[in-house]
Amino acid sequence: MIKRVLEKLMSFFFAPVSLIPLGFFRISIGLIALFLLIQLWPHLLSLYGNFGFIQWAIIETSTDTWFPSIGKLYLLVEPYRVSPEVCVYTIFSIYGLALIGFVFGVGVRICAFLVWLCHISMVNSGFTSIYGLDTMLQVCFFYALWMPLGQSLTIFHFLKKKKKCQSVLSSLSIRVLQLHMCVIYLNTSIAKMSGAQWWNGEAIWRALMQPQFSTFAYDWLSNWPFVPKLLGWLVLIIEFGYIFFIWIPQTKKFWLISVVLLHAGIAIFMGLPLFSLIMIVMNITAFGWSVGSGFFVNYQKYVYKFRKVSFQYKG
Amino acid sequence: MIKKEHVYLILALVHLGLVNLFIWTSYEDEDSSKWYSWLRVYRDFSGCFRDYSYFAPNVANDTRAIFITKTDSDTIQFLPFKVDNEVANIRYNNIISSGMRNPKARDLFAKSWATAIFGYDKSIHNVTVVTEAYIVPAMSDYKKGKRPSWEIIYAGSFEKQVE
Repeated sequence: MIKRVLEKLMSFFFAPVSLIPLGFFRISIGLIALFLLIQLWPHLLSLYGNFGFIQWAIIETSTDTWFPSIGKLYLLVEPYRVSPEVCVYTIFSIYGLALIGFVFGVGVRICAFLVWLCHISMVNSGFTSIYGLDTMLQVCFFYALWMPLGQSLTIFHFLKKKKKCQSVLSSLSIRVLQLHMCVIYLNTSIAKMSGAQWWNGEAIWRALMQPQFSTFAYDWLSNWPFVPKLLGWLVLIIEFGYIFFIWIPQTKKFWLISVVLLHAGIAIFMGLPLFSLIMIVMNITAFGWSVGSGFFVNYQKYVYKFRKVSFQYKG
Repeated sequence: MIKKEHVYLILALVHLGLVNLFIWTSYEDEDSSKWYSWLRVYRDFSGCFRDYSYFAPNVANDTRAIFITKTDSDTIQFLPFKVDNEVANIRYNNIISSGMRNPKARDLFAKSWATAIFGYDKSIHNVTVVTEAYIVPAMSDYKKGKRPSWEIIYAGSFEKQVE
């Protein structure tokens, strides 16, 4: 019995997968983080500096914890007369350089470690300014530490100096990400369902009417209250249904497209493009590819067709 | 015989179990002993320091802040707590909303923002922080004519102490 369960588990977690999604994941999260860094660069001292809007005396965690932060780095280098500003720019410069290496696939493990370390320092030093994007980036960078992200789509693969090689961790990585995505959608859908606003449409109305998120005029919705109500229900169905229908082959594509469209909608109508983009990237990495029935590129089909054509040609 | 794959699988399952523990419970915050502190370290390192309940169960009010500053030459300036960059503005907005979330911490955060403004221009000797929340009426009230409005939720004045 135990042997059978173990066999089932092994075949679920170690089924062969394409290596492309892991390369896609590495490049995509790297580019999102790099774009974010470029955008925030002129504001680094205001957001993370000792004399920024939240001074280190307030934000810094206790010195006896293990959590890395820019303030803790400063405590280490202060005897060498390094200023807090230099500390901030050093951390973010290392972060930027590591991200470039990460995207190109040069020293992926080392770059992933530096990116993860710098990002957690950034999160700890700017805890009051973070939001969903930072949480997701930290999740992704943590996975980047142990996922074999350098097995495909690196600069060495493009220069033909390295061949793609399957690792047992590739399949496990995708499965863990898939299950984590389900936890995310289950958590967010249950939280939404526990309030009245998502059932009566007020959540959609309020979100779209907020100046922070409002990209267009939505006051006409008050004359059509069933529209936000319907949209609210749709969000609940897509998010809660995700944990079931994303696993069923017949509904997988439809659910993946639905959730991608949901995030695209958040990007367009609520002006949160980076958060939406990272959710889309995580979804496509987790469920966008599969051996034999690839969603975006059906590699097996193309290889089969190519072999068939070349066989016929030779014949 | 235990294979490499078995070890990886156990680690992955433990990780997923911990993710669920952090997301659904506050077990790791229940105690300050060593074991719990290691759990907290793992939670933060793995990015599970917050749950995923975005815009849930209710959508919170938008907030904004402005600084009214007085310089040594008694010039009064109005400085909005925002910049011309949307990506950075999301973060400034988060600073405002997280600073105002707990009424007991509002003075502390407002003082911190005012300190940054004092550093921004040495001639500023007084900063008044005004924070407002955007109150959106329910759809039915909006239809009856009620309109969204900015309401002051915090105002505090801070004077620079010159030694």
